[in-house]
Amino acid sequence: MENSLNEIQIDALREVGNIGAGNAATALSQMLNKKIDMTVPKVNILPFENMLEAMGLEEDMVIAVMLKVFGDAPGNILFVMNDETAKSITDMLLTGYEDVSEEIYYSVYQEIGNILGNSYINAICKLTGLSLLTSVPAIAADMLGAILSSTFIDAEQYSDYVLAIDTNFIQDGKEKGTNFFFIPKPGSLKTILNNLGL
Amino acid sequence: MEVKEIKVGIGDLNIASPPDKLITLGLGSCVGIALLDNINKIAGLAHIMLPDSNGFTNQNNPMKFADKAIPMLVEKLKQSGADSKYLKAKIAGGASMFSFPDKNPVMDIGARNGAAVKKVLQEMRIPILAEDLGGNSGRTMIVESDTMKVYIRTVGREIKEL
Repeated sequence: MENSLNEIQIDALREVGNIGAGNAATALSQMLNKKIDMTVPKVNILPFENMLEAMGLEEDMVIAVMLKVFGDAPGNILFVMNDETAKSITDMLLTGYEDVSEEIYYSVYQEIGNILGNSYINAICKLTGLSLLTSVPAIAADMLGAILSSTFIDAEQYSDYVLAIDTNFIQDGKEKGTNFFFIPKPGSLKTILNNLGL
Repeated sequence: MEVKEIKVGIGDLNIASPPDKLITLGLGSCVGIALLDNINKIAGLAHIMLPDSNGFTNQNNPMKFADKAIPMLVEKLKQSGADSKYLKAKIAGGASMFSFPDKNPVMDIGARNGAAVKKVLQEMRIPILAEDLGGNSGRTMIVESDTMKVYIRTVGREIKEL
């Protein structure tokens, strides 16, 4: 079913992503005290290789925070930052602190992922009336290819085409090196669409 | 002669003869299986993402599954002159990239992939010369068909021979 979404359904999912990511962008903007915008979310149904290509190379070093989503429409939230962006975000949040250990950096990344993911999920809950919960955040600093493939497999997306709702954040008119994904498990989109009456 | 680097994607497999190399990038919970025939100098590499094809109705790409990909790779090697009695394996991957405190072993797909690959190799009587499985790190696997050596690259560490 997931490969056979019609235009109206894709529009609806894009809007769901838009509201979710809008909330997340507001949260990020409040944390950083900077204006943060976002791109219009894309509902991507792509071969895995193309999904990866759009973000970078398999061996690119990235920092990623993952939250598992439980409840009526389970899946994974994945927030990916490139090294440079991750550093610039934490530097803004940790102004005034000296000799910050790696552990603290990782803790900050996890908390950012946690706040973004939960703002996103809360918005979807309000819009659809579904009950969704998230796990605690887990973090990995590793190869993009390894992180992305493992996250899709974890969401039971095994087919040749993978599906994700993808947003980028924008600051000062430039796309930051971040990707925010909602990767639904099979059947979750159907539940979301049903609850929207589509 | 120019050395070709043959890329093996996810759910993919290929073979190489000297001087070519096989490479698969960014193994996470997936497992890379290098099969080496040191006598006939031919090497193969498969990149699987799931342990078992049983229960899947959609099997458009059997190379995703450990139980299907390994026999397919052996067949492909044999067609190109390898002898199954000389085949030896080196395997890597099966990590769990994110460590959740509530980790459930049944859901740990990386560990299941690793176990499935070992089981299939054992059933096919292919000895495992070396393995680098589990952990929390992504791996890149490089197979040199002329030296029959396998290298593993991980983030933040030196490249090492497997």
